Amino acid sequence: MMSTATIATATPTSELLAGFPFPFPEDRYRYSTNVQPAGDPVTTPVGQWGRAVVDIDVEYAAELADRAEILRRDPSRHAVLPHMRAAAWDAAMTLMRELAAAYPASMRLERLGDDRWCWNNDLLGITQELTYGDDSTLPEEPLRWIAGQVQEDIVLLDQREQLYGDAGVVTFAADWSFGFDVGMSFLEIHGPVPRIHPEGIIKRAHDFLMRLQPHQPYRRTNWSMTIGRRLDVSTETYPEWGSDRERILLVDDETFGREVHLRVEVQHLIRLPDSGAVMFLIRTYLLPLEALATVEPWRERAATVIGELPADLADYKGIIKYQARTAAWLEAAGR
Amino acid sequence: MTDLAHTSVPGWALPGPAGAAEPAETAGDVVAELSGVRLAGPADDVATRLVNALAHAHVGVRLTLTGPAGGCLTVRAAALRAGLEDDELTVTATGPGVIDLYCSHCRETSRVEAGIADVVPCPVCDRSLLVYHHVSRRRGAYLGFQVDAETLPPAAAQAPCQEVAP
Amino acid sequence: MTTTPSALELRVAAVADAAPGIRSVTLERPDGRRLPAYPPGSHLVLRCGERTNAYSLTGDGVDPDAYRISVLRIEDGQGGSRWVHDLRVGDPVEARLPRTAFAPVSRAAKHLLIAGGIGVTPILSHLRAAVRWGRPVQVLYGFRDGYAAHVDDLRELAGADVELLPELDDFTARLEEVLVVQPVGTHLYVCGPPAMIEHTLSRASELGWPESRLHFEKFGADVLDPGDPFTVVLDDGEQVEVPSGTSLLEALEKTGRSVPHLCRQGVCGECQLSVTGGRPLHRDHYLTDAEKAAGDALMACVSRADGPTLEVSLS
Repeated sequence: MMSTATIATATPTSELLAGFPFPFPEDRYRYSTNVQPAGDPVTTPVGQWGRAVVDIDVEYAAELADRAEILRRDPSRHAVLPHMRAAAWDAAMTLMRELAAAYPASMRLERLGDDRWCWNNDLLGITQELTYGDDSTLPEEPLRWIAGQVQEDIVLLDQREQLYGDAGVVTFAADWSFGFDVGMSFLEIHGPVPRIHPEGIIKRAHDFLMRLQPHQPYRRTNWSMTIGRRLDVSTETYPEWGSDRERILLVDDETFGREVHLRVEVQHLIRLPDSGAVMFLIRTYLLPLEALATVEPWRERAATVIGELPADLADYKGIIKYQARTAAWLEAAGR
Repeated sequence: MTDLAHTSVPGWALPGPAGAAEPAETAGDVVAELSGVRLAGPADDVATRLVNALAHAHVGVRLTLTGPAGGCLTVRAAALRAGLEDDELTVTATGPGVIDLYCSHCRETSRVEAGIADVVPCPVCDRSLLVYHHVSRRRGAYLGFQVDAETLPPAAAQAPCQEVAP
Repeated sequence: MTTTPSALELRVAAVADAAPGIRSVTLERPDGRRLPAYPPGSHLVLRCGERTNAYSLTGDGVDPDAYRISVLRIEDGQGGSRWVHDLRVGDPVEARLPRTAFAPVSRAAKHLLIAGGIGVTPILSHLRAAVRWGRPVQVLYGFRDGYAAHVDDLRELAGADVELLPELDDFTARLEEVLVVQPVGTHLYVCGPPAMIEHTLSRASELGWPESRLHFEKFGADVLDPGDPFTVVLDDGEQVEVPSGTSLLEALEKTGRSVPHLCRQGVCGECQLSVTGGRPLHRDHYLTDAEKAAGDALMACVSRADGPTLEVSLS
């Protein structure tokens, strides 16, 4: 039996496939500063993604419920250092604008006067009048409030001589601990990632972020794998899901294809236009191998990329124990 | 072996030859010098007194810290919280000693005698923690996570699992 | 946000003389819609006839109804300020999105704002934000007597925390006093004539201020340089003109050629082309210093030619 607290989904495979951001542009994967301007829709063999900087899909209610439960159990996943109050409001305001622009049928932001707004989120039945910058006009801390309405994880980077991860709500971390990392610099947070420092990748990414301008968002993708449809694979819960990485080698092929998921993060990088902080939106997608295999170009490329991935990268991504079996499973699925 | 030079562990806290600095009178103590004012003692004590001193200080001050790596991390964390920037402080570590270890599972911080890559039991929740090469400047602590989280218990490793996930 | 155009078509809504030689201009959208927000200390790049110039925004950047700038007329300059001073209400003005390069540090325990002459413009923007968010602030404003701008705005925002210093000696003396009594955590921001900035920064350094606490904006420093036009010669001998303001990548794309690219900012390395003749002018953040010196590659999205022509290979 896989770890507890995986969220079973009743969502049809076709809907999971339609918005899936397949992350491999080539037959070989290495870390790179793979940023590009945001907002250009990417057409895939089975759908489209990337039209907006926020993405609401059929998992909206389930993932928000998951987030609420995680925050109840572990409040350390939400942090706003004292000097980040303005950035938290800025993030809330920016996300309301983005939601209203991307989903006008169910999200509306109306200006009532100077700094006075009315926000409507029909999907959650929220009607909220608020005053920008006035904490007493929201039912909870602004970043937490807006994080309760988007599927993205949010990290706010304060810009000083370098960027520092000084605020965020991160409930769906892939093998890191936001609660521990709060307050660390961007370079420190990425300390443990192999190869990227000597190759200068992280320094270039950091310099790029320092020069981001308001109203010109960028995006990039990141990927790993997860056993079970489980969003919270943070360091905090590692004892709950860690042994799945060995247990998965004991199951039959049908179970393997159902349990092993390709996990993709679409990250949007946004210079907030009031506080000047950099907002990282991290949107996580999970697709089981058995669904991935139904799209032939995806099946074939994923088999090649995962099979070729060097051991140190596979180890850092946490997939080394089942890397070979995954590549073999995908190969076999094509015959 | 990971190239520790590019991690979040400050250079002065890396394992290696002890800094050639004058140690405090009492082993384990940290010495803080804030533009001529000298504070010496256990790390937590120095941290508190330093924060009080900084509340009355002006821009232009410089802070030097000398002591075991763990104690320096503790005092540095307090100095950063009080508003000092990296280019206002210099640290010289005199060797290993006790460190603050953050257990990511029970989320408690404990003071233990250990170094990077050691495995120690969490004094609060008893999990076996790997002392990871990841330091929080804000907490002055190392990250610890369960070293054997991926290891199957022996019984489970024998029988192939056929139950389906929930 | 993803639909915000990079160029804004604005209209002059008001002009006024803030002081002798200092013209304040208010720019709005012709349809009256609110404008894109900006962090304090941002500047606006305007197309001033043949040139582009950057001017600091003085207003509150939160949900702005207008962009407000104040421009000192410079007789022997390149003509940008004269162009601004000739603007009349109703005139169309083309602007780019505001750019941030001089934003306040959120963690500062206190903001020490030092303005000289027309350098008061981004300082005023900082002051508005400090008041909005309840941050401790102190302002020193040095100017030639009779030529101060926005004094009423400064007083209204910060009252006794603003010191007006029309005599240079008074300014210099007061600066000395102020620099040694700032609480730990204070950050300093200075904008004004180059000599005044140099003096402020060097005195602060000499009095022990670390680099991390000193922030300055020199006017003219951050304007995006559209670059000189040049001709690029391709493998097959075809020559393509690359005008000023168009990147090599864009020029090649306009011919229908497809060039691999990703970030369009000179960081990712995707659009690297081989240089087979001529000398590249590197403006990227990808190539190492050695690679740049070798002169046999360049990033098509940002780099240009040092000279009239450049030969590149697309294969």
